[in-house]
Amino acid sequence: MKDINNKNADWHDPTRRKFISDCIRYATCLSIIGSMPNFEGCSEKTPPKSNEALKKLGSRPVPSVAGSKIVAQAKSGDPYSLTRRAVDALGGMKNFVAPGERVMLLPNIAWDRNPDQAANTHPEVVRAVIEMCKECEAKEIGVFCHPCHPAQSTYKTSGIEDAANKAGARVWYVSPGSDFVKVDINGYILKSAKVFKELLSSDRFISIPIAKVHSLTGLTMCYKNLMGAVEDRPILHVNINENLPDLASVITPDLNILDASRILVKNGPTGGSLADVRKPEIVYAGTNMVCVDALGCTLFDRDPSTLKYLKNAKNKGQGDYSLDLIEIREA
Amino acid sequence: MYARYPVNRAVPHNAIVKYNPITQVLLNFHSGISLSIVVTVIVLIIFILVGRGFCGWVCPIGAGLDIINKFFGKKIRKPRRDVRKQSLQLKYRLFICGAILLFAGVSIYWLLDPTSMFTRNTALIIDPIIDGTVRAIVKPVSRIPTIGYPIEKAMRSVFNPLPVKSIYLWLFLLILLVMFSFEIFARRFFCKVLCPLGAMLGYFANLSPLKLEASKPSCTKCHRCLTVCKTQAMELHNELKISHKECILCLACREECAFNSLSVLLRKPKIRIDSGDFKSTRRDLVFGIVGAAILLPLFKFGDKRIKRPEHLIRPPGAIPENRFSQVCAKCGSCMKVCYTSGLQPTLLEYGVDNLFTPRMINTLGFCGYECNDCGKVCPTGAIAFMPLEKKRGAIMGIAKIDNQICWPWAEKKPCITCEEMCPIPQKAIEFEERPVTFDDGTTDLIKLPHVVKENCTGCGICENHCPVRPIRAIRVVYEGETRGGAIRETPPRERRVGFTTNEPTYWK
Repeated sequence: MKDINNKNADWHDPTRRKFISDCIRYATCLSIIGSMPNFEGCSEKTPPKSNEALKKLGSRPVPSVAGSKIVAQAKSGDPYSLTRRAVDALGGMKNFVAPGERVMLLPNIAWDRNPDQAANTHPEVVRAVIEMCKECEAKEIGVFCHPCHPAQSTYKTSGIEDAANKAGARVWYVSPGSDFVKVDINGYILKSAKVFKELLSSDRFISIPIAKVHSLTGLTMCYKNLMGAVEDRPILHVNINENLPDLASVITPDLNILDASRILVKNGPTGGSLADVRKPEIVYAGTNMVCVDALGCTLFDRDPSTLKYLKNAKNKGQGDYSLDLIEIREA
Repeated sequence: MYARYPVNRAVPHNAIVKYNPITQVLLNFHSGISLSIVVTVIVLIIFILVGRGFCGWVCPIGAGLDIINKFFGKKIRKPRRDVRKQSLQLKYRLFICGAILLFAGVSIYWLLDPTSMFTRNTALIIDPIIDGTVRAIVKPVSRIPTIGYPIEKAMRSVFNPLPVKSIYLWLFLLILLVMFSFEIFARRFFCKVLCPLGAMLGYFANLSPLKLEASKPSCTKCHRCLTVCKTQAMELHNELKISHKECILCLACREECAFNSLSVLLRKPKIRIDSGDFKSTRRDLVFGIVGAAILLPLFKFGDKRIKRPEHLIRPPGAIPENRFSQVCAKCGSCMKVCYTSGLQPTLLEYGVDNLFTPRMINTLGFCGYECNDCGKVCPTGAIAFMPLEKKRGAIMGIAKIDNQICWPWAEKKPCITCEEMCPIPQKAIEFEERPVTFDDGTTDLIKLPHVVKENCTGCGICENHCPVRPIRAIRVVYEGETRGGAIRETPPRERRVGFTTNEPTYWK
């Protein structure tokens, strides 16, 4: 008798219904298996060869102000206009971003704190940078940071996620499960680091730290901000004063914008109490991290030579922190 | 995008266990008479009016079993297969035993209660699976140009951006599958044989005005309604007899009857018990009391010898430990809303009465400084609701540094991660500075962390981020905890920065 409903459907003679029901069954099983939690260390993915990842980062054309000792300083105003003035004093964002480029911004979004508590970069500063990049016709602007507190609270409470989405940038969530690529580093102690994948495949890298005190390094500014781009932050804290310059040698930002519109002078880098916040209303912008950090030290009345990581950076040839050698451009 | 689970919705995710009549009665029993008695009375009135219609129309476990029967019923079970009539009495005995134990202070009733079971399963099985699947799909989709990022943003406005972890997912799934597999023996096996809530509603079913009745003239005694009755509530000898205790008003029989003789009618509630019912009720009472009498000493006297381990940390605002397992409904609501997935169920490591109660596992998550959601959602009040400022004064424990393995203390390796993470504005970790000679001959000052006991709330973020493995060098123990809405009386103190002492270290 003819099998009208094709009850004996199999792989070679399937019915549409059987195919769909098989798909649903496989998908359900896979999703149950795939959502089981893993033990730590069981999910190592094989990374691509790290030299290829670095090739893109190292082959960008050097902007005209790169490596120089010029630091722009904008004083007194709201964070948005301070940022604009500082970058304009360096010749404008067109010096750094060409049309059609993919720009990655690294503000400090590490802590579950609101903008007044001075633990993260001010959202208005980030907004100013995004708008300036948009004016230079950047193809895609990404905002990311590997936070210390959970991403969904830090991105929201700091106000940076909303400001970035409104300004038209793409917000990358860096959380367990994000892609990091291993990069070899010929460092004194640091031999490799896992860097956020999107950063390595971008054309420009702009770092937007905030100036705060820090118990381990003394102060956290441009160099310390690079920790937001790597995966295994805790282990980097051991020998941090050697690791930071080594890390900076492979992921060098094209532009650093140091947000000192409000700073943390005590109980940093987490903060939490408004009594620890001061408001110098300054934004620094520069391409050389040593110079920008040296100027940042003046806000806390600290001699740059007392910061070990700066000393190591100078010894590696990454810059000089003598204040008389730095050219300060007032904005 | 929301930062945490939306707990302020009009209908809470655990409404079914929150407005369970047993939860409501116990709420007033444990925390005294207050305004919430109005809600209790309303819930009791609704359940009395509806009777076992709850089982037929509302209960999610019943709905799940019906769905399974609809798709797989014919394949897994021979037609007309049912349990013996005697087996239907088991649920009444389980209910009596469980109810006596509940009021005596042992709350294993909640392991079988369907509302708690449903909330537990959604929190610990369904949500993590959906979360993982959606995350796995959106990750590659978000790479698509132009539309990828809006899709990712839309997902983040619904789902928690952090992965949801449920460490015993496999176990709860196994239990659920075993329970569903009982359908091999009969339709709605759990409802007929095991469900204690159904048993309670069965006892009060006579008070309900809704009653299924057969009209004698049109009934031809064809037996068709008996074959489709999900709970074996019908008997046909000389005439059709419907047991209101068992009937869940699902109306499958009414659909099946070709002569339209079955319908739900409004009748005056009967306060008296029938004589047949009286005998079986008496037997249930005897079995229940004997069962409770046997089990009660096992729980009350056996577990006192197990001392509470130091790493059993309860959620902030949890009521005192000797009452916590009695009040906790093991519903998993708190675990669902914990945004770091730090709250996880305990198994048998702390005794049977602590089965499926929540504990904070600091290696997985921690107690967020900005969050007080677990107290907001707890349906029984086992975790007291505290406003955020007050919750920051609720102490879960104290962090203790193991200076045998902490890197600065034991290995001359500078590390400050615990202090960096501490969310308390005054910081609960302070530094001692000591001169040290490193292996290469250079000397320097090294910062050694100390916990400031007056400031630490035991949130656990330090233990969560401590890089030392396999055991963390800083761990939270339950010393100094404040329970049940109490807060620490002493104010936080200013920490010392860079002091020196002459205590010994363990540098090798």
